[in-house]
Amino acid sequence: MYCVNCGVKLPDGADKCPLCGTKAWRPEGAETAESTFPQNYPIQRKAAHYTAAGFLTVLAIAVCLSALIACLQTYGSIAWSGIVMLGIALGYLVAVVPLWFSKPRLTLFLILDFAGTCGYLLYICSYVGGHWFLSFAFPCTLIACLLCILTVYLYRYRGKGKLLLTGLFVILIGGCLMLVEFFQHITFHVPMFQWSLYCVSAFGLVGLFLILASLIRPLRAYLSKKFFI
Amino acid sequence: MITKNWLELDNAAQIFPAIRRANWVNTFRVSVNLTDPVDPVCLQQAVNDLKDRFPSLYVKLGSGLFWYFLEQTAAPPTVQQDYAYPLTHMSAREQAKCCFRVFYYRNRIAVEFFHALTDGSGAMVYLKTLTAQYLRRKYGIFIPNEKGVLNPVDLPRAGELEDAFLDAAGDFPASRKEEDAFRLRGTREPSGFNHLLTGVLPTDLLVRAAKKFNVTVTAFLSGVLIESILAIQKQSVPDGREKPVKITIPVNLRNLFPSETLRNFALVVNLGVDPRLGDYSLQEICTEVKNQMQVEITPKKMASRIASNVRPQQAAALRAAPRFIKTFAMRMVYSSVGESKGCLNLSNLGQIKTPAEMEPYIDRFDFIIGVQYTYPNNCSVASYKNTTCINFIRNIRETDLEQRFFSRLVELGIPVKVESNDS
Repeated sequence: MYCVNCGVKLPDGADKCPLCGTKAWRPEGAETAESTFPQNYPIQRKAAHYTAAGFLTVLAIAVCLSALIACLQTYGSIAWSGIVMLGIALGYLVAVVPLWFSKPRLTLFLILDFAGTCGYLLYICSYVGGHWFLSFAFPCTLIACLLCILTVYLYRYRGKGKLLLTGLFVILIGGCLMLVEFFQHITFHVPMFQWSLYCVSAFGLVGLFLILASLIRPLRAYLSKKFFI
Repeated sequence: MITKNWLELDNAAQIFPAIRRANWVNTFRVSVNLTDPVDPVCLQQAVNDLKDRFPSLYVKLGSGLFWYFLEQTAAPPTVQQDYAYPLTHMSAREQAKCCFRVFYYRNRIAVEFFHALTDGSGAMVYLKTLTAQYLRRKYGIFIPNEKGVLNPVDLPRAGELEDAFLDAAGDFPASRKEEDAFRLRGTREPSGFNHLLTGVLPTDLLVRAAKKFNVTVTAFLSGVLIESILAIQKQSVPDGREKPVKITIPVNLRNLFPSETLRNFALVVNLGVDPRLGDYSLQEICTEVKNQMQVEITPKKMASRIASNVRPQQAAALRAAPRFIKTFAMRMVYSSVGESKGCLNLSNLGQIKTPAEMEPYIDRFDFIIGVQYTYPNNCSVASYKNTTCINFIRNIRETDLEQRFFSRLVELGIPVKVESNDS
């Protein structure tokens, strides 16, 4: 058997030429070619980034220690170095801890990260003697956490109506921003509706447009034709 | 006789652990197709038999504070069924256990090596000895220890384990300066799948075709390959922005310097033409490659190029630097000169000879080198009896280069049979 395009000889029973993909002529009843390799795929394990993680760990510890020593020498107490060290610990939790794992679970780490952020903000709040943690920082962090998790799920969603869900999600972001202003209002006693209305209207318009596009097929086709990347 | 159970990496091997990545490592495969299906039990016995004969191959990669080293493994590797594609990724974890693998599938015995252990010639000595031992075990036949088949019960000779680069190095290190070559591109396979295209052709017709151009087989194949790449460059690069088209050819230094080492002893030369000077015919390309080979591949020039590799290894300041600094430096050098001076490798093991007693049991030998970190294609050649196998490996979808290359060979009157691992 030969490929009519390339002129090379093909193994008996080949379906197509491996060089150009031209379909090979095979008499009816002829057996298919024996494969030279089995259908046996290796299990690929993604390696954890131990070197990078180790290097960053050493770096983080070094910075923490130098801040602590500087602070102890000057003030004789932990003072501001507590904020620095916890800040570095938070950064470490967000950026370095996932490197130690070969398959980090994104949502689990997001929850951990936001829990860490809450703890950090609580520390700062008590250090400066403020009263804004429970009524402002905590609910805002919670909202941000929920929005991030929703984004992850939306990104991974492969089913129908992704555009519609995205539209609803964008409107939800606007609504959440209004909630943030509400918490700001009750905590710091600033007047309500100073800035969130702009956000709500902007996000609402974009969201509505996406919902519209998801419902009107010709509009969607036109947009995808005009704006494909 | 060696007394310690570990070895320092030879000069060429130093680079391979340093430049490996999470998803890429420099490996190659030698394989033999027998006339009968392979018996894995006999094969495992043969692999076990050779453990003491090849102490530089039955090793794992260890890491010291200053250097990587090769440490002998406690047990020989277990033979396993082949994968869907050759040269699957050999992870650092696997290298820390054993740096080579033995596969079987139908009539084929394949051995894949991490390049730090040995080069193609050393690997072929192992494969021939393994095949001979397997045939003895399976059929109980007598096979003399000649033509690259070593006696499994002999003790390894000191010369087989030496770092031959150190003796061969000249006094004057050559410059690494060279112009960058055109780079082949394509759509990468996301899963790490390696496509393999094997062209099987009659050696006598190939030699006759090369003689028509008055060049060696390697120069002829390089010529056809360069011609194909020139056509690809012409199609994909606008006029005036072309780059030289060069092929990286590993040279077996055992032919130039007396050595019986089974470890790395090869050095690459980049040969090719510059399309900015005008259009080349195939005859011109072949002659150009042949002339460049004659100029470049001489003991004196090679000794000088070895010196530029050996010098840094011997410098006291570099020796005392911790391993991660060496690794970093080697990566820098490799990324600047390692993979930018050629379009792809063409590694020709040449005509492989075995004892006459083995010949009835063997169909053919294959030699497959893995893709480089940035080159998407690589090409390797091995001949046995009247069969030459040209193996093209690639991690991209496009077959442009292979199609041009093999069609050209057919045009030149060499019948080519093409096999592939694509299903």
